[in-house]
Amino acid sequence: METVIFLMILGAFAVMLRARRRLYVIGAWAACLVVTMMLFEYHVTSSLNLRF
Amino acid sequence: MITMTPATRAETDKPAAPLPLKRRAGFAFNHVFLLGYCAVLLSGFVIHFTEWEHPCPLCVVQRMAMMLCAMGPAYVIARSRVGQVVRSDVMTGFGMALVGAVAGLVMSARQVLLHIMPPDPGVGSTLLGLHLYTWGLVTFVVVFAGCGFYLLVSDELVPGPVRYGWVSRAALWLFALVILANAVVVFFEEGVHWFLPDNPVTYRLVH
Repeated sequence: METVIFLMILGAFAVMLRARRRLYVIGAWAACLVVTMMLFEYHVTSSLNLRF
Repeated sequence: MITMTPATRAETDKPAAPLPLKRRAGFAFNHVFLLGYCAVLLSGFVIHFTEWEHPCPLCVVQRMAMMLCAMGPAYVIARSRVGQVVRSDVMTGFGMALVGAVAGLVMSARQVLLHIMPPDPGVGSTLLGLHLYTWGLVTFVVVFAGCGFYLLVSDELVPGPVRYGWVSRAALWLFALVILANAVVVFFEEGVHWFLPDNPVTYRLVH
């Protein structure tokens, strides 16, 4: 999945260079952000043993 | 047909007025921002291939957040290819950078807090006394500060009709290569599995 997301980021960068409409750029970038946060959530496997 | 009188020819030959220094500085700031993050991401490779420390999954997601952050200045630079860089371009770019920095800050803070309790020695090698994930947190805080100062004086720093030169082209190409290199290295680490293991110690593609 990590490889796929890096390739997605590269794709979003290509969209940024090619697309004329801002919405496409923001959409591609936001999709990358969402899957990155989902991957982060997947790798967070335990709660912190801290008291604030 | 347009005939060129000596007066119009003199007008055309006149060099364009140089761009104000503040606008050039605003455009240069975006290059420094993008190249700075490229340097940070490349330094991760240096640690990886000199100390043979494979990046853990949390380090990898922080690299992704850094890239999402760096897409902001890359967008501002890329806009100069097709015309003037206007205020809305700068706002979009810095919006991306700030939201990316929030995501990265959450990730690196999580990893710092995992190892904050003594006597936990932390994970991986250190650079100038700080672990790499702590440096990650520092870079995201620097992005906040840098974007904040830029936006304070953004009226003067909006680049406008800047030239898309070889430095801009090289910066965008370097960024693309850094993303591709990360994809290749992680593919070697991950192999044909869906996710990286919690503590990667080998290249699963070839083992």
